[in-house]
Amino acid sequence: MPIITYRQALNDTLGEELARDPNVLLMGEEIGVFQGSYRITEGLLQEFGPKRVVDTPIAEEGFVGVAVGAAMLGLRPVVEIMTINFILVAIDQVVNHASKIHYMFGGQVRVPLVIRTPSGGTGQLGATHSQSFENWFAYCPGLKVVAPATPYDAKGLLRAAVRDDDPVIFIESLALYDTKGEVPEDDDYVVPIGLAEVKRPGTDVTVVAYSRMTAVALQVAQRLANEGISVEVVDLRSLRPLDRPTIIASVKKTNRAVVIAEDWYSYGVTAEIAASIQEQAFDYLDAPVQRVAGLEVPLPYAKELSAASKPNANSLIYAIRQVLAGKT
Amino acid sequence: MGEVTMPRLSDTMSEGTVGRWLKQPGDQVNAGEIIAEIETDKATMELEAFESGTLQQIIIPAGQTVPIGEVIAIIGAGPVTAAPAAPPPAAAAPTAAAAPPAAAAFPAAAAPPVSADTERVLASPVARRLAEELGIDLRQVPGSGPGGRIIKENVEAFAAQRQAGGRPAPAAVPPAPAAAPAPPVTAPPVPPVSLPGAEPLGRMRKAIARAMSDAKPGVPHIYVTIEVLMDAAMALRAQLAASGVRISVNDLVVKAAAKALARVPAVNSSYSLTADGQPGRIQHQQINVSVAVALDDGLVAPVVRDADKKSIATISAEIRDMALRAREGKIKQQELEGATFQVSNLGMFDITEFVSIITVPQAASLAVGAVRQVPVVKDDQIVVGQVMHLTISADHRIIDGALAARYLKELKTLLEHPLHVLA
Repeated sequence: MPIITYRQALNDTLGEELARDPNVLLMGEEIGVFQGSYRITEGLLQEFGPKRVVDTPIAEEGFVGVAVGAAMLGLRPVVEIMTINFILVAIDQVVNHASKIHYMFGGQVRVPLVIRTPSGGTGQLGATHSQSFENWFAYCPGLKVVAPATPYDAKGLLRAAVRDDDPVIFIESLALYDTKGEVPEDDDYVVPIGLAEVKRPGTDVTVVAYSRMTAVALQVAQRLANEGISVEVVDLRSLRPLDRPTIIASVKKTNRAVVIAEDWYSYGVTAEIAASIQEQAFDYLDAPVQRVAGLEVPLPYAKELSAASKPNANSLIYAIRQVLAGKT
Repeated sequence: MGEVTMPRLSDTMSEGTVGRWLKQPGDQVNAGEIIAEIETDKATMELEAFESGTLQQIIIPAGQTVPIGEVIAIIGAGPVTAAPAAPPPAAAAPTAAAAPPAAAAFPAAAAPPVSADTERVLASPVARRLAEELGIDLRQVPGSGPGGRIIKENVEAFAAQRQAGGRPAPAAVPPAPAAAPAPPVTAPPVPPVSLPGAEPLGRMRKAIARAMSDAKPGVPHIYVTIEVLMDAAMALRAQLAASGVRISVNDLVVKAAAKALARVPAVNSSYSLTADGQPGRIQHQQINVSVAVALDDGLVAPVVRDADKKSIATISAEIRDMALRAREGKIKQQELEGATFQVSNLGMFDITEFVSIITVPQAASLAVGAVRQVPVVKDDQIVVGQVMHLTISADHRIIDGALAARYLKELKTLLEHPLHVLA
């Protein structure tokens, strides 16, 4: 099986979907002539032309609104928001329109819209360019939110998102774009939205993660295996719908859970997962569920402070040791 | 029909042995009548019936040891019932043993064990579920998790040991901090008892208490050591001896320790729960110093009451008398109760210094080393001096290092100016 980058997987998929369905079009800032701020759309303008790959002005509310309207009338727009921080000016279009139209129009109109955007913070982008807002959208019924961690899942979930008839927020990560993984060729597989996956089986503790934190969790699991600690990594892949049964089954097996996410601690994704675990697996817990999340500060620019504010392998290992306290 | 349970007869008692039954099944029993003798870890006590009736059944025969709260006999109205009215001892054990060491720190003999299930055992949900499935009483399972929480693995280990017929060893429990000849200390983490008059802890004190307990489950000890110049004290002792008054170094330390407690009363206290179950502390008005006395196969700690108010000659005589009777097994249970502070002395074995373990609910214990001749610096000259090391173990939930140090400083000052001890 070929090994390609996460970026390549996205680029391939967009090209394939544009070729497969004439109703698919891409919209976003700098995605055409400039080839994409992160080169996800590289080569697509040349291949499919300016009607299918549309460079937009810097006006997120405007072009997300255009995309919602286009989707209502039968096109399947895939919008790139340069980073999730810039979606805030368009959030009314997403939350008050895209997510609700199908319901408020009595089911007569659907909004098959995909919004792709990288979330989270690495590389000193400062307080306003390093945030994780996927939980804002995962909070909202009527939206679907996916956040793949591997090139394989990126491809399978992007296909599923483009082909889905409802609005899907597709969360990427700058730090994942260059990561590599196996992706089958000539295989039109789809990763179903709403299905988590046990990325690594284990017996001592369950780590629940998604997107970049799944990669961190897998590294930590490998490190701790050398100490004889068996970590099971559950990759959520979708935040809405949330695959609670897979999480619960894992926790029932290991009796311990650590949840890690890059967003802020209070009211974040980790809170939702931890609450679900205590509701549905209370009698299987051997320790309180631990949460590893971002420090509750606007992200500092200074390199060391920035790194110290984000969850990482060390903070995850610390939390794992906390839940394992007393176990021999 | 009434159950007669193994009573709690002393602060430190966790189990008792039925020494002798004075009544037999079928005998008429009146309330207040002595029906059996119970041997505790310290003494033999008489067990009174709380109600009148016929002794229906003896469940625990003489010679057998059971935890407090376990049913040992049944008293009922009418003649002996043919079939055993109560379940056999084996089956009775889990439920009977379930009666916790209750809330009574200083139980009066008249109070039967009440409040069956008020103390919550710290256990994880999965440990709880597993214990229920396996029919295991969680109170018997030692917990290795944070704060002594029982985790699944502990229940599994307990079940495996039970299966193998072995006694569950508290293997996973953190080891006691000191290798000293421990004063009588009851089993692993002792849940704090509720003492009448305990005042709730302040916000910071409560946080310290919790943090210390997390780090060192049970009673979180801290240790502080000081060196005392004993030249003046030894000279005074020699003078007294010349005039026919024989006192030991230990007598002097006990008296000085009591005096220092009067000056630093915060050490003379206990960590305790308030009436509504909140963490609290109680300031003892009386200064009762117990003195650890080594026996052939253990030790007891008779109590010198109001030690700050008694003359050193009286203290000396009391200790000698109680120590003698303790070695002959004639010490009374009351003489072993009510201490607010403890002194352990290993000076006679030339031990330089050691640490002792606190006896709950006391908050501190003093470990006394030998008086040794060593070079000391006096007026810029190296001369021969007599020094003694004192180490206090203190309950860090309510006593901080600085307080323990202040107490030791006070004690040192007294011992270095021994006339103040006598005054």
